[in-house]
Formats: sequence, structure tokens, C-alpha cells
Amino acid sequence: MGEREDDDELVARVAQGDADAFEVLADRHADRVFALSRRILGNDADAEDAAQEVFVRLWTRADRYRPGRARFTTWLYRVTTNTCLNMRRGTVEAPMPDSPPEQAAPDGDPETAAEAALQRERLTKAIDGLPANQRTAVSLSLQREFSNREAAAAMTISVKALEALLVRARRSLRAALAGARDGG
Amino acid sequence: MTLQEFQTLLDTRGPDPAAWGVAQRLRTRRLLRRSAEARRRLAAARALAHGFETLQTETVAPARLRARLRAIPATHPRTVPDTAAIPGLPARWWTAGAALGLSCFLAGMAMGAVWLDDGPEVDLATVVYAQVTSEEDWQ
Repeated sequence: MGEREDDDELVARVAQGDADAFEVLADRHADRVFALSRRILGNDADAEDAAQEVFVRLWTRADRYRPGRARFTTWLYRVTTNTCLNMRRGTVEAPMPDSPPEQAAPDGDPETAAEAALQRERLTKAIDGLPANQRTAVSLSLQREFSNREAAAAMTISVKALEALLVRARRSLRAALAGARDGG
Repeated sequence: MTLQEFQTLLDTRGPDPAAWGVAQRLRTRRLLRRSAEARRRLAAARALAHGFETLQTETVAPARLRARLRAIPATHPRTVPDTAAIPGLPARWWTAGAALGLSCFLAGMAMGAVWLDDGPEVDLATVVYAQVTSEEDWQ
């Protein structure tokens, strides 16, 4: 709740041209915007370009954010989603990367950390292996910031179509993760 | 609710009961009480959601991206005005107010032209008759 107030205050300052406030917001939200972009676009290079575009929009269009209507993060992730989908519509889908994205160093004992890293790698591979529409649908759905209705609106499809994508995506993820575990 | 319906619910709405709706929550609660398989599927869906959440929160933006973001204010000129016409009031409100005022003024002018009261109607024959009789009275 405190963070929300801080974000709203910072956005108001950004709308007035405050570069320091912009830098604080960019530092705070760069990881999540990059992570969501990477999930939707499937590779680091495009995700970086998308994240930059999102923050350019924040810098030049901060006055369009209405604090009472939605949380700042919801607004920011909606901008991120639209930016990624526009980029994807304009480009042929890039091949999947060979390596998972850079991760923060986990705490705890090395064995648990290694198992967690393996799980992350399996999940990353499974998500990256989904068709683009399913990957976007499941990324938005699992983002927790979006209801199905909002995710469908962001993808400009019906809620029914989104739910059909989610069913296929989650089935594929379950199968991929079960296969990876059984295969060692 | 059957296991298949429950799985479809998990796949379309996710494992958070807040997204299910009241009626489905009640039916799901009954199924979960009697079915170990339903509980296993819920746990699997939660693990997937948690794994994704962890993936999201642990993914770090590369240092080169952070540098690009910090450079944005210097490299991208702003396209919106920084100052409002009236301090504290957004510029578009001021513009909207001015447009509304002008519209009211023009509407008032138009209505005034149509409804302007130009006095009672005068019968020309009566005027002529009155003039003639008046002149006859003088003679």
C-alpha cells in the first residue's frame, strides 16, 4: 500500500518532468517489466527493446495515468503487454533462446538452490516452448495483475478464446513438467 | 462438480479461489472434501502458479537495459507540456472549460436570434384607418 502511494507520487512528478523520480520508478519496476516482456516475446533482446519502449512511454506519457482507476503496476503491465503484442505483430517470431534468462542468486543451501534452479529452468523451457498466443495468455493470467477479462482485452480476443488458450497452455505445461521430472 | 470440471476451472481461472465465483467455490469445496485427486490437482496448479511467480520475481533486468533506461530522460524529449494553463489544473481541463464556455456563448446567441421578442403584431389596415380617422378629426 505504501509502495502504491510512492508510485503514484513518483508518476505525478514524472508527469512534471522530474528525471530523478523517473529513475526511481525505472529501477523499481525494470525487473518485472523485463520479466513479463521476456515471457511474452520469448527472448532477451526483444524483451529489452520492449522494456525500453515501455519506460519511454512512461517518461513521455506519465500524465495519462489516473491514480484512482487502477494500481500503477496494473497500468504499467498493461502498457508492457500492449507494447509486446504490437512488437510481436510487427515481427516474425524469433527462435527460442538456448539459455534461460539471467536469474537473481538464490539464498539457502546449495542443494536446495540447485533443485530450485533446475525447476526454474524446466518451467522456463516449458513456457518458452508454448506457441506465442498460449505463452502470452498464460503469462498474463499468471501475472496476477490481470483478470481474464483484462487479459483478453489486452490481447484483443474474447474471454472464451483466452480461456481456450489457457486450457491448452496449462495442459502443455503440466505435460512438459511431468515429462521433465520423469526423464530426470 | 466432477474432476474434469474442476480441472477446467483450474485451467481457465487458475488456482486462486477469489477468481472462481461464489457458486463454484461452494461446489469446489464439496469436491475437495471428498476427493484426494482434486486436492492433488489443486496443489499442482498452485505449484505451477508459484513457480511462475518465482520466475517472474527472480528474473533480473540486465545491467545494459538499466543503463538504457537511465538515459531515457536525456535522449527522449517530452511531448506533453510540463505546465498547465492554470496552476494545479491539468491543461486539458482548461481547454475543455474554454471550449464549453464558447459553446454556451454561441448557443445563447443562436437562441436569442430565434426567440428575440420584437413586440406585438401590428395590423397595417388598423394603422391606416387610425391615421385617416385621425386626420379627419383635425379637419
